[in-house]
Amino acid sequence: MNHWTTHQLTEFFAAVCGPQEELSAVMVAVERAAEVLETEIGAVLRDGRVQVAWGLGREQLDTLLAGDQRPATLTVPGLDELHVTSARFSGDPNGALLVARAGDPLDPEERQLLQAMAQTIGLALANIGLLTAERRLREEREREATERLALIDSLREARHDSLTGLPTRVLFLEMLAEKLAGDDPTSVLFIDLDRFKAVNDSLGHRAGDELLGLVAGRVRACLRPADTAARIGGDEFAILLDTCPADQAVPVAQRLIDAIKQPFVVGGQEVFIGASIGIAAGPGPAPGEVLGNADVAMYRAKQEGPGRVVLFEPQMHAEALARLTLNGDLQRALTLGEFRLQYQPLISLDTGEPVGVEALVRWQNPERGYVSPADFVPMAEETGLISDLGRWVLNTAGRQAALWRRIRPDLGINVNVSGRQLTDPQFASDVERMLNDTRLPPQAVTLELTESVLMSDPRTAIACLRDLQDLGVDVSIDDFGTGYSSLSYLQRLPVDELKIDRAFISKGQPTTADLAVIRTIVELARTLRLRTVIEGIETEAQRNAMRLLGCDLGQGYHLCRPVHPEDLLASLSTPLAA
Amino acid sequence: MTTGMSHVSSTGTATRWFGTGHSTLTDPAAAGAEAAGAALAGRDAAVVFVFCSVGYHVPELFDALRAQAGADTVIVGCTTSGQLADGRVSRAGVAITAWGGAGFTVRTKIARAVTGRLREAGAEAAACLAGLDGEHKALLMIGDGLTGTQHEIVRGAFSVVGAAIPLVGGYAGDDLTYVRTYQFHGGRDGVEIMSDAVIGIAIGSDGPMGVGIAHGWRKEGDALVVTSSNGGRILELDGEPALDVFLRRLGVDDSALDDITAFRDLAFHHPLGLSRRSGEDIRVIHDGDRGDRSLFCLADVPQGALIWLMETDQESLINGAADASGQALDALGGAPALGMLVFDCAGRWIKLGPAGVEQENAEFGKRLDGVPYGGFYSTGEIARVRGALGMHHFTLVTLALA
Repeated sequence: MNHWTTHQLTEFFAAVCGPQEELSAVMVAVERAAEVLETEIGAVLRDGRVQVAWGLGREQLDTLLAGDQRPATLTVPGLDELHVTSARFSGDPNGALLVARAGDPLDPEERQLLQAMAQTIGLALANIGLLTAERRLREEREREATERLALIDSLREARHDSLTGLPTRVLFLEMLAEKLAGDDPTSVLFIDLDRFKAVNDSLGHRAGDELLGLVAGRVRACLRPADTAARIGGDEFAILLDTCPADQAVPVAQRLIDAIKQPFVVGGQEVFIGASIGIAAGPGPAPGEVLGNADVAMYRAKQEGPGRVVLFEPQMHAEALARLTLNGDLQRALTLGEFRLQYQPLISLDTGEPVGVEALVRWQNPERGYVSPADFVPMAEETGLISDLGRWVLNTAGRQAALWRRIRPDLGINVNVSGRQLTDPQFASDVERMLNDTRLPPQAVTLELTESVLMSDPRTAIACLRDLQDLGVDVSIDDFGTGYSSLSYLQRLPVDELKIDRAFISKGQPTTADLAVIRTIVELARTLRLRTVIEGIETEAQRNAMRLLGCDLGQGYHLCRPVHPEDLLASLSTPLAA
Repeated sequence: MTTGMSHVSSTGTATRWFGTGHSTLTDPAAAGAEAAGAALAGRDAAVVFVFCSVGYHVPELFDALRAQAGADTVIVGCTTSGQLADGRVSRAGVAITAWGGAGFTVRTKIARAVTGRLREAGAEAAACLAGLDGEHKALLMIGDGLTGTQHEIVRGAFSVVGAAIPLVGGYAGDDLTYVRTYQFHGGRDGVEIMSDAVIGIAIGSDGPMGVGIAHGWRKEGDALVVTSSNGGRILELDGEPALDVFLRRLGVDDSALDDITAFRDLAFHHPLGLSRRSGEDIRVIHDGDRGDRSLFCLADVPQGALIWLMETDQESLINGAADASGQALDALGGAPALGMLVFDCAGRWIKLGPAGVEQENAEFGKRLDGVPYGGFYSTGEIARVRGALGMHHFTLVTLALA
């Protein structure tokens, strides 16, 4: 039978079963029923109300259909009388498909088709209901599964470092505990990268992250499959060497240092870093203790200079503890006002007249007594306290110098500046503020920097020095001759003064060789139009020798010891010992 | 996206008129001036329809038309695959149809960037009906012929317009190249040339309007079931790849696809007919895909539908012109016709051939007996007076005004 109504039902069924949402299915059904039966109006009714209307506004149709008895015909302006036919859905006696056609009413075959369509809608809606419930259930399950996966991921993340893919401290300690439970010797290497911070600061965190990934790769490549590398935090890594006593771990550590020393290419640039390694071994101590011991040894290695390997020894703990206490005391010292400044004059070797004073920081702790700068300055550098301490020194010395200049208008002031201070972006403005506050002329201020500070990162140093030069203050290179100065850099550095290290005249009577070195430095300084200061003059013979070599200024116990500020003016008035 | 709305009410008591003009001059300004001169003859039009071939530099054509247009005249139109007016048909040329006088109201609205939101665009363009004056109303639509499932545009318009107001119109063409069509909208101050747009033109009139529709095709051979389809893409017929079935029915092999123009020509002569209450709904096969062995139509072919390959003859097609004209005139209820707009499928032109088109045109003239008419050869026809179905293909649609 090739009658059009049968053909349309198949189309209708396919169209109505397409949508996944009930309302969409109802809308498609109404549209298609009206199109197929060529009726002007189509609608789906639920509980006697129009849910969806086609060909007429929903509310308008609702009004037309209102009443106890559904009307057989409708009158709509602009249309001939409309014959209404409806059919109930299967499985839902409250749902009905309604059509209204102008002209001919639906013939029996069309009514049969409408009935079939209504049943199809009923089936489709029931199907959608089931599918929707099923979909919701599936979505709920998927959501639960996703949450579970997220939980697993977060747990994994806690045990694996996302940047390097290496185990974290948590997992490392678990693995270490497992190894230490056996009798085999197990070594732990604690690696701290040298100069990593400089890379991070200059090339940015992304480059830093990239570098850590590359380091992790190199570290892994140096190890046997049974060994484990972990990222403990920041730029610190730990290695677990399986069945390996501490002494055998040393060559492995050295190999790691050599590998890390090789240049890395980060962001298209070659980057050079290094590593310091501490080694501790088990079994014996608990896993956390072994790792802590390796950390302490690493700290010692770091103190000894870059690229060192140090094996843990028990007394290191006591030292570490002492350092920890010292650090605590140091942190409080600034707040408690325990720092003092002493001043040591710089004397013109030619005239014997004092031309300036160097401010020297002193720490007098009620319990420790006098603490040497050699003990606390490196720690202050390490902890960053040096920035605050340096600012205090700068301001205190500046104020003091301004007072003295009322009596000695030509007196200059030398202030020591640490590497960390120099690269602090605030430093130049600190100096400027001090000059403004004290009204000191900039040329009265000389900032002393050590050679190593300038040479470790000359490019940054030059940029910082330029800022200082712009302020008009002088820059001096302290302890000159002891570091690894590149003379070519000396020419490019905007410095005004060289302070020749006391090492060259440490002997009461300088040797010919010492004098030759000093003469070379003085001549070099002259060529570069730099002022020279010789430190550590302790005898008249040294003073004479230096004067004859052409040194401009001298400093030392023979000339004047460091004195408290209140005693300074008196010291300056005292004639030098003959 | 923006929509444009303009509005014009014809002036007071002027005599109602309907004019047509046609030019095949190649110079756009001269063609525009000639066609507009004939259609307007110095009268103030409520609306001017411009149907022209794609070869023209249309800004110049519109400059010439605008020089003759009234201050409130609405100008609408599109590119075509042929046009007719003033008793003549042309493949390359411009046909202008205009009307004005007392009791006409025209309001327009444009939906732009319609691809991908066809139903919404149809509803948007149909919004021009809001607040329209006139005892009799109709919504005329002109759309881009290459936006996909055209039926959705008509469904969108019907959702706004409802069953009480007739829908009529056609989709723009580009001389059967199917590359790009243009739609026009504006007035004396300027005409915008668009693609991917649908223009709704709400017509209000004191006099009745009548719509006619005819195609003149009949079923050929056994029916086929669309066992797999997606929109206008027919993947399977009777469980077999649709392209294979189609080629076999026509007695040709894959080489028929070597020349796409030749294939389209062949397919034009064998459109598909979908079984409907009042006959068959025609679908033109536009392309065949050698990859997935599917057939592609410009309108949807629902999965599950029963279809036939359709056939016709010259006489049936030409009789369609008389049928459609007659229906439109009859629908005026005895009121004398002022003029008639024609939306004739471009596929019919191909099927009829140049001589057949002339015969068809003569049939219009004979049936209309002096009533002016004009229109264009389209890429899809819109007509809904009864029922809810308004999209047609390979069909002839007419709108008569009294």
